Amino acid sequence: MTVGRRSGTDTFAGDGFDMRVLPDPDAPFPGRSPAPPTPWRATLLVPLLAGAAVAVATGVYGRLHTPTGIAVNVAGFSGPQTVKVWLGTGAAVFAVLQLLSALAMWGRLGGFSPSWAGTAHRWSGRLAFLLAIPVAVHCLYALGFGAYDLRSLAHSALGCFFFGAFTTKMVALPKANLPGWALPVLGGLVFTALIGVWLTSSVWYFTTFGVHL
Amino acid sequence: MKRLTPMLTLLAGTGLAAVLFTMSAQAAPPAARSTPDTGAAAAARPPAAAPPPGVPEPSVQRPGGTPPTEAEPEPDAQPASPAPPTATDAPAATVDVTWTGRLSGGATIAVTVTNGNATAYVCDGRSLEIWLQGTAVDGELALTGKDGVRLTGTFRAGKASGELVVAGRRQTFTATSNGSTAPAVYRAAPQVRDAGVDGGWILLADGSQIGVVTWNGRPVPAPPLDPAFFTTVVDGVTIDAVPVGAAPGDGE
Repeated sequence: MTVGRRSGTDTFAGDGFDMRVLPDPDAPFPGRSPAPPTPWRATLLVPLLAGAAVAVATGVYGRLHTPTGIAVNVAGFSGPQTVKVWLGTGAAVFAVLQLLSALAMWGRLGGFSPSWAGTAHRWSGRLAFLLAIPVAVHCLYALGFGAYDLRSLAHSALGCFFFGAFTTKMVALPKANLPGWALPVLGGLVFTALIGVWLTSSVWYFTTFGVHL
Repeated sequence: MKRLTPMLTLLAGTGLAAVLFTMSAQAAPPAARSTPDTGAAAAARPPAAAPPPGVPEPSVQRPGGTPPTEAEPEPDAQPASPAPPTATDAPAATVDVTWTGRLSGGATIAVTVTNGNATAYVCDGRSLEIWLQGTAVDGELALTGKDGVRLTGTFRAGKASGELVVAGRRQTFTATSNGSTAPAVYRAAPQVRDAGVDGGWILLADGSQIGVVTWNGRPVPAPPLDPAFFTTVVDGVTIDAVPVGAAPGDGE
């Protein structure tokens, strides 16, 4: 299993695999990987535990906290729901940029692999994450973990999963000896979760109530 | 250093969430109602709850501390000017007076009057809500509701009292006004009611709210209204509320 990347892949013969290991995209020097490679299971253990803890804690809080129906609002929109659907839509737009910039980084967009793809990836991710935070706070504080119907249940579960997956990816990123599939899989999960959250909220809202500010 | 940036991202998100949670906690009632309406004006106004002595049964007191008139509420329909511009996009409608108080049975009652037309809302915050319509003229309250519910009573500027008869049971009440002309009784908007969901809220003088939502014919405690938008969410459905019995103000 080999995964091509734009630049700077280094290989090591680990557990009998001929596996090309992705370097930390944040790493300044490709050769920084530590000499004794720990098994990837151990490497991913802490990120996975951290992500699971975040996801479970988010869900438990959403379930136990009595929804207030009210949370801090952002001026300029007609209501708290519209604030959220537009912030969420903004996050979804940045998530698409995430996917495209990741594909570019990994050389999957043909020849289009600009040097700034990594920077674009990092910043679009930060912005998407920060846009999602107020939405999540409103959801958790004002509405809680909903299971009224399939949509709210899927939305709530995916929302918790998104923040867990995102945490896992952030904690995993600096790890030096990740298996090659780790970041694409984690990134793909984060992207899929966010788009799922968006489909079950903003898109549902737009199709139900119409598109307005 | 670069290895830290994902952690910084997480930390930034956590910090932002913490700030928003804190602000949300402050935005929620009961702390929230103090902002929109008459903060400055109320401070400048003497406590209107104390009617000037010696005025025999004045009609509904005009807002803004203008001298109480002996006239009936119907004329001089224009509220006196000091109705303050609301800071938020809350409806700028005003009412002449709202009395809020307790029934002897424990439920909360609010009677709001505009131009002699009175609307009363009784709810216990859990499972009881009653709407009544009627008049407030010459110091007399006379309102009726569904199923033969009747409210009769008397009022002065800062105080109203009387009795409510529900299903043959008689309850007395005393209600007071804090002089505010901001609407204090809200009801689910007509389009919400058309969809089969009713609800009422009383914004009490201390900033807290009490309300009941009737959801598929079943009354349930109402989550408080968002004081910025006068909406709330029940079972994932947004409910808009509108002020009851209010004359449209400048902003409407």
